[in-house]
Amino acid sequence: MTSKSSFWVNLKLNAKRRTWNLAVFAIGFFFMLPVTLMVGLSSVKSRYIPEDEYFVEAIENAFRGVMVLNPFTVFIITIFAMIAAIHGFSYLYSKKKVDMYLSVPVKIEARFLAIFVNSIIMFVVPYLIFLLISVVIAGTYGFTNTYIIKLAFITFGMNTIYYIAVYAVTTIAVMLTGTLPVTVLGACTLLAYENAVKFIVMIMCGSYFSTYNSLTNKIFLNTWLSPIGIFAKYYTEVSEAVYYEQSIMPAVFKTGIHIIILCIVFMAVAFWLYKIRPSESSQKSMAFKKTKTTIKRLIMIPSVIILGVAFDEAVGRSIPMAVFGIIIGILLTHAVIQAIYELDLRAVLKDKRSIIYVGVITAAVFSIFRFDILGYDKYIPNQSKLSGGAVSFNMPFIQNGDYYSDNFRYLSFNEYSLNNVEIDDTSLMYDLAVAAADCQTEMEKMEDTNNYYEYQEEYRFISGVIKYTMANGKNVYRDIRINAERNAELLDRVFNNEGFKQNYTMLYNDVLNDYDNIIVLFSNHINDCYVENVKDFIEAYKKDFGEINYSKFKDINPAGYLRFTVDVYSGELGRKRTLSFDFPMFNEFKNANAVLKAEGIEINHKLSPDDVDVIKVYPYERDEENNTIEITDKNELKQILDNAVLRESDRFGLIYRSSSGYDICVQLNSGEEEWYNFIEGAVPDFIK
Amino acid sequence: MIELNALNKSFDGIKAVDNISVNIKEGNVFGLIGTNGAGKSTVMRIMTGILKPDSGEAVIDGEKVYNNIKAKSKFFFIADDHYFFATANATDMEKYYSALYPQFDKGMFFDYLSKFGLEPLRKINTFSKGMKRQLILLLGICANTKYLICDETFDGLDPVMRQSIKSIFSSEIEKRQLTPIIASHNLRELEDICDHVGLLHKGGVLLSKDLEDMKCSIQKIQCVFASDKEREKAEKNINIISDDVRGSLHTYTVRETEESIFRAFNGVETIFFEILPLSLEEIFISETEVAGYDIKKLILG
Repeated sequence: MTSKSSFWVNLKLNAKRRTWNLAVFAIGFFFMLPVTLMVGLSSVKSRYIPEDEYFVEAIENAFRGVMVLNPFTVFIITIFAMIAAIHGFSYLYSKKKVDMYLSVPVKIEARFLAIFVNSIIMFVVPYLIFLLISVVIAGTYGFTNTYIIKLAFITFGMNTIYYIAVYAVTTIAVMLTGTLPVTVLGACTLLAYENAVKFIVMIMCGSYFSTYNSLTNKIFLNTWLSPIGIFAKYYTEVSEAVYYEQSIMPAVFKTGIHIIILCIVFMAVAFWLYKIRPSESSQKSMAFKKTKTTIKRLIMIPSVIILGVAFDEAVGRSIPMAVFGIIIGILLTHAVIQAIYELDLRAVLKDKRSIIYVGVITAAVFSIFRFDILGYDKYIPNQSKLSGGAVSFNMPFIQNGDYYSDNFRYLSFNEYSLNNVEIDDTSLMYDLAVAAADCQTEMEKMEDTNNYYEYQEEYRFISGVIKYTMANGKNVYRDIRINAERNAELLDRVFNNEGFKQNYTMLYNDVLNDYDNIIVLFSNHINDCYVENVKDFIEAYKKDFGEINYSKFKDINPAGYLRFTVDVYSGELGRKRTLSFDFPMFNEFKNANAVLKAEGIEINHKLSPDDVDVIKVYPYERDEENNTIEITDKNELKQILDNAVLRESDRFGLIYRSSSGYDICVQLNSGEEEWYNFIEGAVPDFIK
Repeated sequence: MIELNALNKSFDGIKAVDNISVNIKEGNVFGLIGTNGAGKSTVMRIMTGILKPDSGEAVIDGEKVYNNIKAKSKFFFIADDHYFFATANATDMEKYYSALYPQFDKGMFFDYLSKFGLEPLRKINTFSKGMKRQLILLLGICANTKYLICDETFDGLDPVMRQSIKSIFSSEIEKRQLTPIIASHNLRELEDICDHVGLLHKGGVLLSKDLEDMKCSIQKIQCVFASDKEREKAEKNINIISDDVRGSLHTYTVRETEESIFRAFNGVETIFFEILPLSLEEIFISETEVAGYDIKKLILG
């Protein structure tokens, strides 16, 4: 008896019932893989001839785009997994089917396993077959890149475990519910809940906390339970790795192990629910009475909060509107969920306790964010619990151009600085926190008295991002603003800190130590000169740059910029890449200037009045009759040229801080035009 | 033997089965009778391990049924609206059940199919309701299980088919001690087939008795006495359940055996005397009236 009712018999019987499921998957993979690839390859063939040097690369890109980095495939796989789980256990929705399946002598474990194994076979077999066919098709176009083929098979493996994870989550949804629409809603909720909640918290932090920094989003983007969230992150990592031609294996192992663990846990939960699921649950919205209310509340709370935030923000912050949004949200979500649960519109007001419960929780959570009850924006870490940190100021004299990680991936300036700066002076970090909190308090007061913009004008605060590294290893990120006038000394302490100085730009990065491989260009737009003695110059420049601090910087303007260009060999294929970094060049950089002068490079190139045909000065505030001042007098021309800086000499936005309300257009004898700005406080009287 | 021990089951707070205990002996045809909503299907579904009782247990040949394939392999359950796979034909269903029930008699099945005029390769979804009932009954019989549990299965079968099925039952009972358990809301449907009947009402067992015992212990007597004195003499010696008088004709329903009736009427002068067989319906009317119920309302409508 038991031998024939074994797993294999069940597998076979189950497979017979699910042939259409297999057919859908096979058709899906047929169109997603070989057909899409053929379209891509034909397109390549129509654009390039096989002898073209880009032909092979285009073929490789077409194959990789379809087989490796294809978000559409992941989307379809998600749908496939949901179909497989729902169809596999769809008998649970029908009393007739339940009566038949549960009365026959089949072990519950065997049935569950048979459905599961068939679901995998139905996915793996057509996927693998069409992947192999695709490789053969690409081969006929001359595609032989085994590295990309390897990536395609790794993607196949990763997509399979992703499929199983989504399948497991959907199976849990099937077990918890009793009708198809509720299962689909439940599966979507389970798959997206973690990310949705994190997203809402992220939105609220961004909306209500002025010191919230987007680097904190990394915490929210780390998904632990949602296969979709985990895989989205994995795809981002793989895309980057492929773009930079680096190994995808670290991402594969990390995500692979994570998802496999989730698969095991979710399948165990799904099986446990399958075992305890009451058979009478078919056609009931929820299978377990005990979970009904909890699930409803868990769905309601984030939905209501986001409605409260939306109403609040829609009218530019209004508490009455937020309260209105929350009330509407509670009634609406409760009514919808109740109607789904009870399949009866008259049941919308049942379970009033949940309305009160959700109302209280929502109001509490919303208030915590809206009124910053926990003091997020005034955060000052306990100095004794600090181990150090990093800070990155949005100051224009800092490096322009690209920032790279150790493996030459692009980073933002803030990311680079916060990743590399290591300030171990905890008192400095603490003082920065206090200064930032003070500034925040002042700004809030100004906001309250509607003097916020005046405050910004008046005090010229410096903004940036701070990373507090706690003794327990946790990093806390905050946007900060510091009142620069009052805290010049504190800012100088930061710039004098070795851990900051050596790491906040790429100037001291190893990549700029390879002197033989670096080209240095000085430019003030009028003159472009290559530096010959690169080693001496870079070392001198590093020395000068290291001596700069906030107090020294705030009164000087750049005379031009330096462009460091360096070749690196990166990625698994060791391809050559050219990186470039722009830094400002100041007159005050004596050591660097000396090297340039020795090479005959004059950074202070000034036009003489003889070079100029006419100077037109455009005041920002003009009247219609006389809005342009034209200067031709040699004396006046000299005065203007002596007190103005060339805009193009600066790639860092420094000049704009010296803007004094005038645009200066210098028309040269050659007919060319150059745009200048007056140095701060140096506008000649005849212009005013 | 199937034992239902103190079964209880509620759905959303509504008691569907209330402390039911019944024993079903092998080789008998057991009828489970009750109105719609009496709990027959719930009892059947607990008996077959589909539903888990809130308390109590269903045991088949010493094995608890719930989640136990050893117990489940001993019966074939025919639900009131049995499920057939979409687009399946009789042969497909035979393959399915023969994979699950190794003792399935394929030869007998196809033989019966032909006798009943059911085409093996015709899609079941083109069958009439009665044809589907015949098919599932044939599948159930040919599964060769010890117990055949049928929920309202005879509804929708025409009299000829019912007779045919009954004769197959009889032959199977004789041949291999098949024990059919049949639930119905219609007493008359079970009258000529059941050996033992359980009457369910509002989730509980109103009575559970062997039909032969009931038939033997309850009799109907029609008689016309020579005088009132003679009547009183007779009535003293019999256990009267009911007495219907029309003119001088007395119709008694008595809880006596034929033998004891003859003994009681020995020496009583009657003008007319006859012991009549009771229909199952009449027996139930009598038994349930004793218990304080109006059977006509319960079952006969």
